[in-house]
Amino acid sequence: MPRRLRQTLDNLAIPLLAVVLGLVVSSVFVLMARTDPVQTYQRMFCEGFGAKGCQTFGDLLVTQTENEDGSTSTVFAPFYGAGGHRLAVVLERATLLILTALSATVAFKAGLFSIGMDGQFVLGAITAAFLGYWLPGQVYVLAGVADPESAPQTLLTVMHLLMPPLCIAAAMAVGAVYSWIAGFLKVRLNVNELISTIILNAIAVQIVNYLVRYPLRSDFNSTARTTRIDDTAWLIPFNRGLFQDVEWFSGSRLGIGIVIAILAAVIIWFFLWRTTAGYEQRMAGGSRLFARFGGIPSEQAALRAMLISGALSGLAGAIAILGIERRVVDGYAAVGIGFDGVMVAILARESIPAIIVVAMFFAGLQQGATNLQFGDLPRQLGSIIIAFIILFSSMETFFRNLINRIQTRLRPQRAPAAEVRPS
Amino acid sequence: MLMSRRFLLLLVIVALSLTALGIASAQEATPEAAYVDPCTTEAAEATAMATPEPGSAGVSFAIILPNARGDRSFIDSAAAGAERAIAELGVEGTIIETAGPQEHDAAVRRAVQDSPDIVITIAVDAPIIQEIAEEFPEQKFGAQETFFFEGVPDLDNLALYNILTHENSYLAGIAAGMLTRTKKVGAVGGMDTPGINLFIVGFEEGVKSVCEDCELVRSYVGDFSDPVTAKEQALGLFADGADILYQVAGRSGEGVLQAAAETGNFAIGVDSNQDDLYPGTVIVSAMKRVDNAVFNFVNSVVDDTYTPGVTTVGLKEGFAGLSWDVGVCSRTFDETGPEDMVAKLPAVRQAIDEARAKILSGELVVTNALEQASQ
Repeated sequence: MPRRLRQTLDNLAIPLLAVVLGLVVSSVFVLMARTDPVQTYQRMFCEGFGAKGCQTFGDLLVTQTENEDGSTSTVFAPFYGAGGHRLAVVLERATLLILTALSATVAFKAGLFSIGMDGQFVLGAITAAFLGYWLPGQVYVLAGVADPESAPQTLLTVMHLLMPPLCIAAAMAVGAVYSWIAGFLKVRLNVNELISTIILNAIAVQIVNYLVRYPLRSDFNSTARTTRIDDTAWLIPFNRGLFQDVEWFSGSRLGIGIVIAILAAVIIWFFLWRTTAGYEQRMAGGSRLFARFGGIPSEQAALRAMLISGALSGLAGAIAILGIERRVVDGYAAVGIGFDGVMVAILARESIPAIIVVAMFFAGLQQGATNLQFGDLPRQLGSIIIAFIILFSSMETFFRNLINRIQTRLRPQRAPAAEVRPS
Repeated sequence: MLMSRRFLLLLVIVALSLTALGIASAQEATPEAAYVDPCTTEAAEATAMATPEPGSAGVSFAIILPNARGDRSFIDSAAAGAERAIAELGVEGTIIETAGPQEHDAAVRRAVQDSPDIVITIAVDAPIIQEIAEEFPEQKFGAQETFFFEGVPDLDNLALYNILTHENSYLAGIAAGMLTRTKKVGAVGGMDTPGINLFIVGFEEGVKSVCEDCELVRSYVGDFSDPVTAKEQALGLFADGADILYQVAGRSGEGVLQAAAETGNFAIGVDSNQDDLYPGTVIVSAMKRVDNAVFNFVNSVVDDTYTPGVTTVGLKEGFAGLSWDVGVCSRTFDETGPEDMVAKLPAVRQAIDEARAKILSGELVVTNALEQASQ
């Protein structure tokens, strides 16, 4: 077997093994809840990855279609989704996970265990939420438009082109600056970035809570919230704009954000593996001292990594607001999407293609866990299953050693057989 | 002192037994004894169990809760209403807990996919419901605790319930005002919003109506799921001399109850019947019958009386009340509270009944903080 293929198989086998083991072990808890494991998992994967009406594992892959003569036939169509496919919602969730996981990866690759994604994310979100209604408001005042609905079409078109990039840029800048603080503390004062980012996260969440509850609060709603962003700053989801008639997208707020996230992944991959700056960063991450002796300005590399990392989290926050939520509701800051991103980055072992896959899988599991309730199964069961899958996924070394041990035990018996075979 | 207390107790026992015997002259014995507790005299189960209606088997509903269950207050009350509907009406129901506002949109849309007869939402942001209701005109929606500030949209498939709680809070305020020993009572709110001040303003007016020189204190937690902060604030208020606190803070309120129990002070519960959570500490609960609202939503699709638009209900319609009321008849504090306070309870109940009659007849108008805010 070629070494490369074997390596890929190994890399695929271990996560799969982890998922299966996670499911097997959590079956204990599923049984304790007096429910059938198979049915629970069917429900979970259907709700996470299936189309509307998916009931069994089989429905994940095949769909019954009606022929012209009235008979039905089964076709292999895992992505066929009349009435809305749940993958659309999964992609909506995954957008934010991909971006925050990229953010974590950039920092990790530079040898900085920064977990400040959450703080940068919420600050980016509140920046976009504020500018999303404030900037268009200012433009309307300047242009002398009293009612946005009666504004001239050209003005609206120009604004629609300008507002989202402006809001996104501002959110990225805020995220970058906030992340830079931790980098600066690390480089200049040697403050452990893990500790400083944890604290900066807490501060950011409290700042956002304050802003939502007091200065940016829009009305007397019993849950505090900011004013909704103007329609010109809105990244219109596919199912209301571009692909209005495509049922696949119905029920999700998936939009251009996923394209931005994938693009960001490609750019970050290129940056890390194909540019000098990225090389410097990876070297600095490998060994700071070695990099410095090799003439690499490792401090600069670290600060740059923190800036890029923060900008990516800020971007995630901007997309969460401009594309999905359209306003910050009290409680949103405490959700911890940034932490989910860190987890995705760790599970993906800092590999960029893996981030996209893991983010989608994780988002699907979350979705499935929440929607277990539509099958009258408790939501907490889903959380237990997810936790076990994550636990086993993080035991990579253990599995690798296990596989190696089994292989070495099998090898002596196989070896003579290999010699007999003519070469 | 001991003598007089014993004497009073004896008097109460004698008076009660006399009333039980139906001797009319006993009613003039003492003012306390004049109060006839409807919960002990009448058959306690005032609300008859509805029999499952035969035609409701095919009816289904889904309810979206704004957060996880277990606040022993607002959310649990809504879930209890859903469970009661399933049990009593024989309908199919799906109860969905969410983990916060970021999941509301997806959960409501997912619920619509199953096309139940009605989708009930609790405290979901108004534009989310409006958008989805407009997108699916065939699906009926029932929203509780959703406020439209720029006018309710004219939709045939959206019904809203508004439960006003200033009047029952006023009644709870009477209890606090009459039972306080330090002449200092207060309220701990979840957040400084009209929806919460509706409770607090009513409560404060109730206190003032029976205790002119009582001092009132207030504090806001700023969060409905932060019992730790709420507890600290309550401890601060108790240290400051308050002895009865009214909590209007959802899950945070648990901290207020705990602080009262730990310091030997007292609290008034909210939304659900919380009297039994800390027996002897919680005097009474100002109940907001979210459960009834949920039940009525389900019932409206069962008996085909679904009406779109806003329904405003309160004390009069039985959607707001006290845990002492007939139907709930919580008497935990009578059994576990300190003697001197328990002795006052009949008089308190009488005062409350009088105030209730005045409110219902329109003679007494309690300030509606929600109305003030929207003006």
